[in-house]
Amino acid sequence: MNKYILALSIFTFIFIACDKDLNLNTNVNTYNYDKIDPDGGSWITVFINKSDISCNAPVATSSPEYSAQLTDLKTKSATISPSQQDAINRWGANAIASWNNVARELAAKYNLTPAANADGTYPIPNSAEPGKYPYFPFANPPYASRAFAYLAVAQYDALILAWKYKYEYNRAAPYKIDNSIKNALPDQSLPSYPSEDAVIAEVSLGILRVMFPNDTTYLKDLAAEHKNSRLWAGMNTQDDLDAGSQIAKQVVAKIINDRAKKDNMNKAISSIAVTDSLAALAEAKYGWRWRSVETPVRPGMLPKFGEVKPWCVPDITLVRPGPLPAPGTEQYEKDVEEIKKFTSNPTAAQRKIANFWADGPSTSTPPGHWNQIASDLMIKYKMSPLRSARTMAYMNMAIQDAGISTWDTKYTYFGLRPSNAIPGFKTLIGVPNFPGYISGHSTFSSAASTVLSHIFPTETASLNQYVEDASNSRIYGGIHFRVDCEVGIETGKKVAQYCVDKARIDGAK
Amino acid sequence: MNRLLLSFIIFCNLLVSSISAQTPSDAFMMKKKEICFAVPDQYSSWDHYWEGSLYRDNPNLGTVSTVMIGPMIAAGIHDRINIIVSCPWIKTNTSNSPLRGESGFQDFSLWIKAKLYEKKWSELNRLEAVLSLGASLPVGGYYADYMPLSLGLGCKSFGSRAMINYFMNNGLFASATIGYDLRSNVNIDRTNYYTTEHIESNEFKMPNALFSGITLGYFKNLTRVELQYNKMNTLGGVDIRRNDMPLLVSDMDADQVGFYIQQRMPFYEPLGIILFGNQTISGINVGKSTSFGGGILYQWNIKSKSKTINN
Repeated sequence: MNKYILALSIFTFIFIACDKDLNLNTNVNTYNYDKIDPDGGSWITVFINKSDISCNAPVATSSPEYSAQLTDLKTKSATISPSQQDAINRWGANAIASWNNVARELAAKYNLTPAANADGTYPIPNSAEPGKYPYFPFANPPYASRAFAYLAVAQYDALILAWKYKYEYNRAAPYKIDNSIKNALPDQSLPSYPSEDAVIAEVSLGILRVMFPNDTTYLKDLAAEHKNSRLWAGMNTQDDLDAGSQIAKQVVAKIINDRAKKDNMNKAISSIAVTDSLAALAEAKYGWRWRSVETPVRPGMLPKFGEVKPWCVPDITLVRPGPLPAPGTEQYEKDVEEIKKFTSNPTAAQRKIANFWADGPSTSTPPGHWNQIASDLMIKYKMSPLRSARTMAYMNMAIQDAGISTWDTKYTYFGLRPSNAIPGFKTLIGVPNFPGYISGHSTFSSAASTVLSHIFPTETASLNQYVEDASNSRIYGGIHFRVDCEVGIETGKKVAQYCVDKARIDGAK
Repeated sequence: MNRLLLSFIIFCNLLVSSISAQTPSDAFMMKKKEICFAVPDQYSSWDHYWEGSLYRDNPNLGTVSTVMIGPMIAAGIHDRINIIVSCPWIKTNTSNSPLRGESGFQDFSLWIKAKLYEKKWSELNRLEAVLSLGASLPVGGYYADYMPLSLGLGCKSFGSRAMINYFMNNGLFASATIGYDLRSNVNIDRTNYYTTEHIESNEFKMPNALFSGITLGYFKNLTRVELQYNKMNTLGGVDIRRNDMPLLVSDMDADQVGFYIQQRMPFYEPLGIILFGNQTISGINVGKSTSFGGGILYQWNIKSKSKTINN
């Protein structure tokens, strides 16, 4: 019988070891902001002309209209259901991080390449019918970089305006005017009109519904929940929220109509004919051309993304690197030998890096990975929404500009990937469907890290390590030669410097 | 594309439980001090799979194949209690994908199989109830989050199988099995993934799995022949999204038919050969795999010099 008991004990132990709770990156505790920046309204906006945006003056706190709102707020904040408490927690710590999380979610949801048609062609997602397969958008890394950038820039510009009006109108928080209202979130000593949370909710809805139109209903529900959570938490009156929404809607309309619709993104997706004609130019000039390794042959991803309007770099050709080493040269052959070695006999550590930074289909993309890193830093350093939005805006402008520069370089030189250059070559991660030189992940990462190091100088060492790992991951995975990665890192730094230069003089100390 | 590997692995696990000379879920027990050693080899492949319920091919994968060498040892520690240990070595490959195939040892498993009930009407004619409990553990640190070329699921699992077996005097028998695998979470080297929602985690929450099967066979003297019908259903899990890679947490269901032949050598009874094959006939999120294999087994009794065959 002892054997039975021993066996049962072993099985019981294994049974317990089969723990099912996922280790999730959620549930941020609320905190007091490190800085509230009363001068934030004077900072330089990225795109919006401040005088174009208006915000109605609030009613006096002594007025009957305001009293009525306080009465309403007392009712709404008196008893809170568990789901309302969840909403308060979700949006209450750092709403910029929370909405960035939503953007990452949608990027991951739509980060799937469309399947081929029966005739061997590929369908192009149509923004007019986003819910019909192939779903719109295909949120590949360049697309995601642009969505993150517009979201962050609109949030930042709108929050600068919110700060401007907050200190202009200087209305105290409702729980300070009426002691019977209990605030469920920390008092940040910020004027409460207009509500920064309504600004963030309404801007995020306005931008993301354009970027991910198939999820408009979901986004509307989130924005309504975010705004309502401020009432449930006793933090804002309804007119605080309405004023925030008023600013947000104006900012969104300006940015979408005057920039997003005119930034050339609509021309970035092209047919196989466009890829081939660009490839023919490169082949005539350099003697090689990248080819898709997919069956049926898939048009290269976004051949004209290099012509999308950048945020900080005045002209993308300013940062375009020179050509890659030609096949047969010593450096080229060295890179070939190196990558063969890594992929045929990877160490566990190399494999871990290759997978950790793969950020492939159904993930939030390399830009999303960096947004996750930035979100964690904003929370770690207890940033206010304004500081958080500034961090995200400059980082994501640098990331999108890095993407534009990368795609410009890719479709200028049509550099071979190892899978094109080495017969029978096998990779450890999926092979992206666009030219190799330069590595997108290397460029995105060094651009993101350069901005983040400017904002979080004490994090520079770990950020540099992330860049090195993200860049090497492409070599270890077998999808980029070392030269693609090294030149990518240099290019990302150059691109980001334009953004850092802007950030240095935007008024934020 | 990699979901295929997953289904493949699942199939391998099913196969492990049907190829060997003695398995946790077959109808046979060994007597005390009998030991059986077998090395079955198996080749499986598929070029079509179910993406959710969509039956498709994938020219970017071509044919996905797996070779498995599955050494196993079974021992009777009591007439009613057997122990079965195995540790398959696997090699995966695709004909068209640029992704590198994998090779190495998969999961070490240990099962205890106990005959709980027996009613005998004659030496052969009898009814039995058998229960197996087992556990498996990934070995060799293989990369599980690499579907469909991963060597295995990468999780610890705790399994149970219950069998009812009926044997007739003429050698015909029938067996019905039901089983359940409890699976641990799997650690992965990534920060986020999308299933039906976006999950920012370095873990997969693996669905548990239900197994069932019916076997009709003949076993007399030195010959054993079986026809099998097996089902696997994960309880939970997600569909492969359109044109997505498979994930370890896919909802994998498969129906399989198979055969198994074991022949002991008349001139040297401890030695036997085995032949087997399997075909997936329907499924969700699995490859439509065809498998066949063979191997040798050696079974002896360490107590007596007389080489006995089981039962």
